[in-house]
Amino acid sequence: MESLTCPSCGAALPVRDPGLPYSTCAYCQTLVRRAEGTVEAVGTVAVLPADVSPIQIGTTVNRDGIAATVVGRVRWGWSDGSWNEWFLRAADGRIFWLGEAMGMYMLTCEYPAVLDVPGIRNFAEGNPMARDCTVKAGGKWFTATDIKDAACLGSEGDLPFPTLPGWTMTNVDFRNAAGDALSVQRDAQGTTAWLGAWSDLAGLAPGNLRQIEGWTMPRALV
Amino acid sequence: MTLRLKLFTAWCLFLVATSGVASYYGWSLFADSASTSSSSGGARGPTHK
Amino acid sequence: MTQPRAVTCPSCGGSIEIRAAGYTVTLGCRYCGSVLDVAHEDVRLIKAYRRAVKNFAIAPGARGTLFDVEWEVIGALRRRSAESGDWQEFLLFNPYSGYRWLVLAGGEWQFGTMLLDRPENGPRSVSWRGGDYVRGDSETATTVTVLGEFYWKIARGDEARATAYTRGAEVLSCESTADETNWTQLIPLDDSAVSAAFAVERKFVGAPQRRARRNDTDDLPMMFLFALIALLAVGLVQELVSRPRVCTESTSEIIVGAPSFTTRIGTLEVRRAYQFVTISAISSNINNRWIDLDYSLVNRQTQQSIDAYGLIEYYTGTDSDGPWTEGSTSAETLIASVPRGTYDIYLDGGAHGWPNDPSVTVKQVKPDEWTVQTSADAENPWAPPEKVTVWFTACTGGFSWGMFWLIGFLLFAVPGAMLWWRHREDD
Repeated sequence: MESLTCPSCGAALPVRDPGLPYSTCAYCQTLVRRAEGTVEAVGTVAVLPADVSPIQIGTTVNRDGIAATVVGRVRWGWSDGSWNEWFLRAADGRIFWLGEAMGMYMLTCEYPAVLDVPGIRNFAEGNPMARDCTVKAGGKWFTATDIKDAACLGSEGDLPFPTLPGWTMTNVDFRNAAGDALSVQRDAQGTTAWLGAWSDLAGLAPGNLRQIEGWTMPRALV
Repeated sequence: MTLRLKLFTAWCLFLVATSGVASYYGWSLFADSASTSSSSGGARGPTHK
Repeated sequence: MTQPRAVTCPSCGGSIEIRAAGYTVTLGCRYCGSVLDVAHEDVRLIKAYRRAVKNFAIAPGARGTLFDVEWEVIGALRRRSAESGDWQEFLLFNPYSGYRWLVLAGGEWQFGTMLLDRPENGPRSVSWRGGDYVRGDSETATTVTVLGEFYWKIARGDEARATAYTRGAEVLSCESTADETNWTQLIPLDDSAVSAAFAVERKFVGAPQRRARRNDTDDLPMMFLFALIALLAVGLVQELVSRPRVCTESTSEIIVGAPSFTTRIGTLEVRRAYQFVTISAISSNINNRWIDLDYSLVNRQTQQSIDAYGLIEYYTGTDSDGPWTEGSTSAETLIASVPRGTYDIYLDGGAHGWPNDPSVTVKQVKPDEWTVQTSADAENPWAPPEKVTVWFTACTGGFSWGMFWLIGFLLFAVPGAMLWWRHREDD
């Protein structure tokens, strides 16, 4: 694995995943773009606000045949709150997002087929999404329950897109009665769709969780 | 009927009975007895303004 | 990133540590009760209040273990519905296990877990994970007070339509607002389990308050109604019980400015062990005059005397605010606890002018005849003296307005204090 240093402060830049173009320096918050062995500083990422998330870079999850490791995180803010999206990669290179809100988790993998559904294609073309819009994905019906315009509040680790201040996206969450989840995100790079399920932390069979000061990790999660 | 409503009803009945007994014996806290009088002798006048 | 986040209440300046940093969106200040938006770095005041929220069974910040997981109480709500009265809800948090609810309603505890999946609808029941839950009553739950941290936007006065579906002791509660519908599974929890886990305020330990708290909102109007009925009864009882009523009447003329004189205004018989005696005096039209009325009830058998006084005064004038009047031309005197017997009622009366008495000359013409002259009219020093006429009615029995209003105060003080106390809690 190649060894890189931050072009801004000279600190070592761990490369968790050479396939990802963007990495945030943990020491000086510089956003670094990597391409063909070169590194380039493209800006400064906001410092992540304090939180008590039990997930950290290096946490592993194992659910429904998905075995992956967290390599990066984006924190999104909207008018009435904020949430974490953890970026994961499996050994075979597949990528996943782990959304974290209200103490619950939504583990999803990319599902581009749903982008052809007229309602979602319309959204991808820049139009607003109707609430209660119903779509079928992976053989299940979903209803749009939550539409948010979000702005990037900060990031860490390796990510597929630049998380500089001002980076915004529109997120639509679809749910169904069985606890499945479909998330459609539109940003400057385009629109992507992610399909998965809601879970509590124990349901992810996590490993290498963050030790939170003042709390003991439940025995089932150690 | 809640417990406190029952207690309050008892309180109401107690006060009605008390007023009945007081009236029967012609007893009042607010009688015009002479001992508190400032009547004879003292000059009086309006307390206006 | 591991240091806890502390915010300063923009309303009272108090410093509050956020326990579920990253999740918490709304904060009810524990010092002043103000509701704050802490979703962003800049804390915004949603609504200011000036009194700390109290009277919760468990104080936010308490930690305890339920179902082998340690929980911290980070938020507390008081909610109310017309059907169920008041109840309390506590938001539990563990960073590894997420959020749970602890509900205290009617003296009984429930442990709540939000559902990630939805029950399937049937006509009169729903099915969830293989079980059927029978639809119960619906009610509108209003949030009354907010203390501590919450992961969604919340404010006092928030309303949600809540429907309960039961299966044995287990309840699925469906709460919907305009924006969303949430399902929560509620399972009963032993009083002792909660008391063992958390420091529960003593007055909320044990279940006997069930009924009383249920109807908390309902019995206050009844109390006011009962108080009103009781006050009317007091009036009627006072009027009837003080009887029999026998009266004697007479009229006296009193010369303004003359020395007081004594006259007998009648005889009364008190026929019960004790009675009130009421003497009412009504004067002719007077202005800027006062009349002292000293009464003596002399018992014919024992010659013992009971003294009382009355005063008629009436003044008029004009000042910068215009004309004014003060006093009245009548006076009622209530003599309490007059024992059985026959009484002669004597009056020692004198009338006076304000600011000055008319000057009066009194001459003794014969041993028991006096002439009285006033020189108020300087032009006519021999004008007849000014006289006021007073009509007396003395009766056995009477009505003590003082007692009536005192009892009225004692009657209405109870529900009035409860109303004030409730209003105070709601603020």
